[in-house]
Amino acid sequence: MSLGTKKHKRGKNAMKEFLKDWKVHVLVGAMVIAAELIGKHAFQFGPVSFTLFPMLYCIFMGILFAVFKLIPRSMMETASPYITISVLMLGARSAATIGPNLGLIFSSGAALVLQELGNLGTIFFSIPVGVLIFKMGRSVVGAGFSISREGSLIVIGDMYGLDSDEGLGVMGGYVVGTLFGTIICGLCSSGLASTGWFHPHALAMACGTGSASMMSANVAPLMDMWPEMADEIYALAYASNTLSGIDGLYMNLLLAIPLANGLYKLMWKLRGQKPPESHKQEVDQVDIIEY
Amino acid sequence: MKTAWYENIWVVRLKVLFVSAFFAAFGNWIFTTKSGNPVTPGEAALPLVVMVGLVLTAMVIQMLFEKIPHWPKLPTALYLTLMNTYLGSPISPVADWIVANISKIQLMALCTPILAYAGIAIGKDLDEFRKQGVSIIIVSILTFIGTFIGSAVIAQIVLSATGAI
Repeated sequence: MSLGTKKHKRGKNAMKEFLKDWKVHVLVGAMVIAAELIGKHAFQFGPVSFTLFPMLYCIFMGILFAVFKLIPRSMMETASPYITISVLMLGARSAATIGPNLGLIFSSGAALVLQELGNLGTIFFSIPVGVLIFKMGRSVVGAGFSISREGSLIVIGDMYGLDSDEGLGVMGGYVVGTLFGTIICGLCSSGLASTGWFHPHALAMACGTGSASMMSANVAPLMDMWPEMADEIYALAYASNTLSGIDGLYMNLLLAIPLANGLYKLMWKLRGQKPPESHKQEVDQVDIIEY
Repeated sequence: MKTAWYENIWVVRLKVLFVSAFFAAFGNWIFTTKSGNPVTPGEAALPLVVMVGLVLTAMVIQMLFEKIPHWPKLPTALYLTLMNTYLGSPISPVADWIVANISKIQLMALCTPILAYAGIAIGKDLDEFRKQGVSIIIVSILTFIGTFIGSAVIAQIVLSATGAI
């Protein structure tokens, strides 16, 4: 009998542990309802119009919670691993779009594969700005060679160490991306879409960067702007995102880093100065990858 | 020592998936009502449960594959995508049902709970953000914009060149 009571008690405590994180989930619920009730809003900025979607308000709310210290750190730490689990629901949603649009994905195959190289285009933009305007040292390579997601952290961590200047750059990019990535993506794609320069399919392929939440923020304004093509747009964006997830690591390692390194040297040459070295002695490894 | 049941990875996964699905049902309701084609949480329940089932199936498949020696560690999303591509494709016997039902869940409504978890977790990185130099912040933002524009330009050129658009 006493054994039974003990067991019961243990069960109750375990249940308490199981429900310990209820505050996180209730807050998520409240944020979702609030964000959806506010609904989407568009604003005009000259000839370009930007659209904000409910999902982005959740990020704004999170930033406000943190700035005004409204939620304890323990809640933030509890929520963090839940993102990776819940984001899989987006993958499940793809069941309804990828399969029926396989034909479109295959017929767009060349564009889908080649636009992956577009991820390198940003290097010609970020490194010159970093060196010529901000006179940045090696940290510009870390922050500017990619969008600094987990895969980039691995590559930089492996090649230079995260405590090097390059590591400092990629960590900075990672933090900026975590905080503002979705917001930047949402504004960027709605802005670019409103110019009318691009076909919705081309924009859809550009949405896939290897991060599911950023892909969603990118794709939402497009699906809203072309509702009759919404499924096609999501299918292409999802395919491109999956592709980026697969090729990202190799692209970073074999193309992006050598390109960033080369441009870094060139830009400092343009300035007529010797490029600053990284503050960590791993020059040998750097030389191997540069060509 | 054996892990307590509430710390078991599968229990946590189930809990988070069902909570996200639950709130997505209500988010979806508000979202679809605003766009004039309401899908009630009751109607959304079945597709959402199926979606949770798909995620769990992918996780089980992943676990089984990873029992094979030297099998590489691949993201769960990859298993899920491959499985779902088949399920929704014309050769799948359940394609019609899957497409008709899962389409009731709006992608944008589904994202809201995910980004709510992300929003709560964001504070962790805020202090780190404050430590960043302005130059790193600006270069990072430029990188995000440049990646999107770069891909869009190439896609546009290739699509036009191949006559796809």
